[in-house]
Amino acid sequence: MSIRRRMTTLLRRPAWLLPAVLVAAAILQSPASGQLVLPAPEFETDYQRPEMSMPAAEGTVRDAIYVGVVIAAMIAAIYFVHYRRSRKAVSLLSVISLALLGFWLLGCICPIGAVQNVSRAVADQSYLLPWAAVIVLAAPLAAALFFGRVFCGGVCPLGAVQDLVLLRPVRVPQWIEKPLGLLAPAYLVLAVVLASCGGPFIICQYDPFVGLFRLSGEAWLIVAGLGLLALGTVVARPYCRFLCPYGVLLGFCSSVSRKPVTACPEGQCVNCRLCENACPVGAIRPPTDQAGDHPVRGRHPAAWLLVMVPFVLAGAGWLAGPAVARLHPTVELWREVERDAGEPQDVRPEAVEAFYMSASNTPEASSVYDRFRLGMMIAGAFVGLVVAVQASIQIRRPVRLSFGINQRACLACGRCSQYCPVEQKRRRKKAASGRATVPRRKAAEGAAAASVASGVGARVGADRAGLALTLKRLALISGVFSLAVAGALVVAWARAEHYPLLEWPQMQALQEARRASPADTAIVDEIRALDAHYRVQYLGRQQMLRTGGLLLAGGLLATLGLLRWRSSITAELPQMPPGGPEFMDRAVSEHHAARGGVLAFGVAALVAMLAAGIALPEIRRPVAPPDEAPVAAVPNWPRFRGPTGDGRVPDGQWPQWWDGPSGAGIRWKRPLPLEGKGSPVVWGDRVFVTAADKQKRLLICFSADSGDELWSRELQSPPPTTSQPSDPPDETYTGWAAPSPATDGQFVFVTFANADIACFDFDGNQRWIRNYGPVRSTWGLASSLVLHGNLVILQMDQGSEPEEGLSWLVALDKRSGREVWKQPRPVSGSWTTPIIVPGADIGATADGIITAGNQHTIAYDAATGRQLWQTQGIGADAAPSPVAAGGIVMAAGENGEAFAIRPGGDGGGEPQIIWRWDEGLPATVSLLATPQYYLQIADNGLMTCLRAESGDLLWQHEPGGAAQPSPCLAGDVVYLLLADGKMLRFRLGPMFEPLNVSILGEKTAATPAFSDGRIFIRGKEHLYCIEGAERPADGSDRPPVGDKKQEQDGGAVEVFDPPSDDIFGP
Amino acid sequence: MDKSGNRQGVSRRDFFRRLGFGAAAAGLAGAGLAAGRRAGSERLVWQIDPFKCVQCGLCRTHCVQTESAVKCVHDFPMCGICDRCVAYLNPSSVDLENGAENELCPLGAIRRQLIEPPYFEYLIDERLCTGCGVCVKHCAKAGKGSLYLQVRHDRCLNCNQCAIAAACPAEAFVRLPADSPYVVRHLGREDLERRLARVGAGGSA
Repeated sequence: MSIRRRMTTLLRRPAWLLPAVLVAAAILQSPASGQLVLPAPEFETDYQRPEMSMPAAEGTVRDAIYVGVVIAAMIAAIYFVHYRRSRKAVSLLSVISLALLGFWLLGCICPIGAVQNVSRAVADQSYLLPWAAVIVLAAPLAAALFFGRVFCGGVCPLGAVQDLVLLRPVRVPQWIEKPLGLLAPAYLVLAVVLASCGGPFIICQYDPFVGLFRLSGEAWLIVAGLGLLALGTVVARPYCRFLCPYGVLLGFCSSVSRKPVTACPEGQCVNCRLCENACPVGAIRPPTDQAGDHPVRGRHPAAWLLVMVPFVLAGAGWLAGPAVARLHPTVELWREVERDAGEPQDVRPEAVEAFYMSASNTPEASSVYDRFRLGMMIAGAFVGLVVAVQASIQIRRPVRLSFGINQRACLACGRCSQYCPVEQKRRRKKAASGRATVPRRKAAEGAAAASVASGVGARVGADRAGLALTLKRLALISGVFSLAVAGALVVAWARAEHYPLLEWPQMQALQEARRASPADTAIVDEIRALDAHYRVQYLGRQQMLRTGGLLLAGGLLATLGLLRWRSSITAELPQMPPGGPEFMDRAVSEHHAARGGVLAFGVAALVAMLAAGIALPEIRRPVAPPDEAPVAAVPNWPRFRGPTGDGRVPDGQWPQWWDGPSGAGIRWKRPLPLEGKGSPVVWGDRVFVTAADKQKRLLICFSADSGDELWSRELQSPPPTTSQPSDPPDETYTGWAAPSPATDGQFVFVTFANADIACFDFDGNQRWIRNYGPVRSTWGLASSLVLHGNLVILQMDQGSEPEEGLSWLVALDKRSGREVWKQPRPVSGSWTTPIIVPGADIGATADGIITAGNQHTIAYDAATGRQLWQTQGIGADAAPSPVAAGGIVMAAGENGEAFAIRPGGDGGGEPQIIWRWDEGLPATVSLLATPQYYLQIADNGLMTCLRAESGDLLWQHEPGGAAQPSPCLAGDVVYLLLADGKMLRFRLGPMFEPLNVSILGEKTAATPAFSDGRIFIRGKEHLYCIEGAERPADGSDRPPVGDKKQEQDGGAVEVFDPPSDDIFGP
Repeated sequence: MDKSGNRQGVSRRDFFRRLGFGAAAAGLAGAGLAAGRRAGSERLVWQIDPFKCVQCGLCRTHCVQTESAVKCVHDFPMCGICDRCVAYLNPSSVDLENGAENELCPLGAIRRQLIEPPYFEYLIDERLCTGCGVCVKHCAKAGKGSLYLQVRHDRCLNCNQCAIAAACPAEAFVRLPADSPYVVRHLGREDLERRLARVGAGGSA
């Protein structure tokens, strides 16, 4: 890092800013904390509340220590491997590294796992990457580029623990070694895909040895780790060779390193073949034409087929993407939520419960799917490439004239140089020069003596044989001891897991008995005895696990040490491997077998990915939640007053003229079995309407296209004891089915005058129902349902005084009907429907719900129900729903006034009333507003248009008929349906500009619905679908002459003349 | 091409080796620089967002340590210090006395002390607390929410991938800067969100 960059970094993150931020935070904090902190009572004593204890976390220093240890160990390893060439030194170093990095620093953050942190940071720009991860990842790789895999030999604690247990290495045949070696790249690429797609860090999660360092962890992983170590006594470093993902990267860097690891001093190999069998990982390559045999050369005729392998595996990877995506938490959650929605269970999985509690949106799993498909495709291609390259190497056997080390596989353990005579000669020379200390010379002499391959058996004297036997017996004893401890641990472990908390059946029975007879002290004694018993058992077992773990570790360590000691006495020197033609033949056939093994691995990978992609029943692709889609893209009318709930119609071509009596422009007309004043709602081809009387509550589904009734369902209500309103609803204004349904494209939610709330799916199955009766409403319930994310929200204002406490806003979970939150409202009965407003529009961080009531207009956080702000109400019998436009909320009521509020947001600012108006107030018709204009319509039809920002009067007009349905706005054209069924179209502007009138021929009270170029109107008895017709050429659809003139503030007079055409002038 | 490794020129194998070295060195340097620019000096530690926690009980069982690093903490200013504490007394307790028959905590890790009638102080004995969250659940549902679960940093090993976070059904695990690693509930959600904003998506588990 350059000095300049460091400076800028420092400036960007000045240390002095932190206290300032904290102080500012504390100041800002005060209003929020007031809600939670309870005022302490006046204590008579001088009691002080204690402070919460907060033990500090280890800071950056710990990372620095870790990085320091890694780098220091690496420098030492380079020196020991390349300059001292001492197996003993490397071995000692690895034990120290194991102690420091493994048992002291407990593994994290290791270079192997850091691959995932870096991958995540590359894919997710906002992920904060720890600097230690970058260094521990890059430093060993950089070292490998110059000096080979010195990290593996001397630093890595995972390697060290495996090296320690290696007693008698056997040679793994090529046909097993080669394909198994491909597991590591596959593991690496899978881990990278998962990490970069936001999934779990599998390398860390399934690290088999870290549990041993910590002496605790998941039982099966510890068993797996011990199993790997047991295997490691004969197969050298199984994890490093066949699984380690980081080893793949190290191997690549090492294979092109500038100063490769060598057994002998560079360029001095005498081809004595003594080192060949010394390498426990099979990294030493013998010369190929030792016995004058011809090497395998040329190409296999079908070799070109290998080119296809990456493509085939890439395709399979693409198929397997969704199956792997299941490991991603969002996909997992989505699946559980879907499963729960499919068949609701009584006891839901915690994740689903938590998801519902959080009231967040449906998990967005589809983009995760796409990422995984892409990631797995790349992963498949990579694995395919590795398979193809490996197989092609096996086809064309390269010619080698002298001994060499396969740098990719060499783990720099330094064993080979023990056996190299040239190296021994060098050491002797060095020792003779007097620089070597006495023990070092001894070691050199011993090793030199050992290099004489003959007479090994004779050296093992009788006393040594006796010692070896003793060691063997001791090892056996400590091994049996370890096994016994392990057995006891398993038993304790299994029983500890069954430790019950409150579910002790015995305890529950006793508690029940106690509740039945509270005075019985015998039961109390029994409970206490049982409780004490359980506690002692539990704590004792905990203690046992701890000491057992330590004993087991000690026992295993002792066994291992004894066995190593014994093997150091009895070990025979590596034998000279056989030579001659048979040796060559065997090498060649092994070569072919390895090729077969590699190809078999490729086939296995293909089959696994195909099976994962096809066999797992994860075919259906998750969809993005419909309510997150932008309004313009959804040609639906999902609730009362449309997608935004304020009467604004999505862009599109809408019918301009129709004539009910003659049928012109009417696509279809269907009778409705019962009355209702709720609007139709439309989703795709489905139109939903409610209808009810005192006994029956119906939800009817029509086809939008044909008008066919698809189904009609009567609500299966809870027992009627509570479900009838105490006052029957007023037939003129509300009736039994005044609220409109709401739909999210998957479910339809309905509510009725008796406070039933029910959920149906699109096939007409009732999913849930609950009742909030008995209703205490003067006119009957009329507020429609509103959907937000996973919530169905109902404003239930009732009672005649706020003090009765009957009013609240409740949010139910869409899928189950459970209450997510319920907020009491300090208002009396009202008939308004709330609107959902994006947080940005009301100065809040979260989406808000605006409710208009008699006493207060209140905004809530839509997700949590927390109150954001409140201000004046709209007077008695509040019925018009509020609107919001251009950052201003407007509300009005007949018995109060009309007013506009600039919300203060949730930062603590008070909402401000910016204008008021008190003429021509609306009684039932909801408001309409744009950032420029505000339109209110009184019951007698008088329209008043004000400037939204200032409240200045623009015009007033009386259309000549009473109004009840609420107006809708398509572009700048208002569609106002009058109570007699006439639809008046006019432009909303600085002046009243009427367009035309259409006639339905039936009375109506419901607001129309606009969807897919059609208008749906619910008349008193029929449901109409209007697609519109050509307007009559004679202009007979022109609106009647206006009869109200109004002076503007500026004094200019707006005169409403008979229309000359569609255009009006003053 | 002389396959015997001639001394005059560069053998094919050596040529490829050098090429590979150059490519690997350039790649490593580039990736290292790019990653280095992105790396933050802040050390992050695991913590539980009590506003999301659903007290499922997995914290007790899923920590890599035999005794979980997650324990119950008490934000005293939020506590109602009542005599009838829903988190201290079990739902079927008949009287308001101490004793195994009345206490909710299966290990008796909550200590109740009289301040002065009718006020009581409730203290957590962390040596006994297993992080099962039973008291937290009761306090969250019927109380003030002053008891909640937190990762205790004298015990946490700060694994690269926290095993509890991977299992948490509420996705309530976050990463906080090591210099302020606890959520103090009475400071509100805003305080937590501010600190999370400081660490970006590193904060989301």
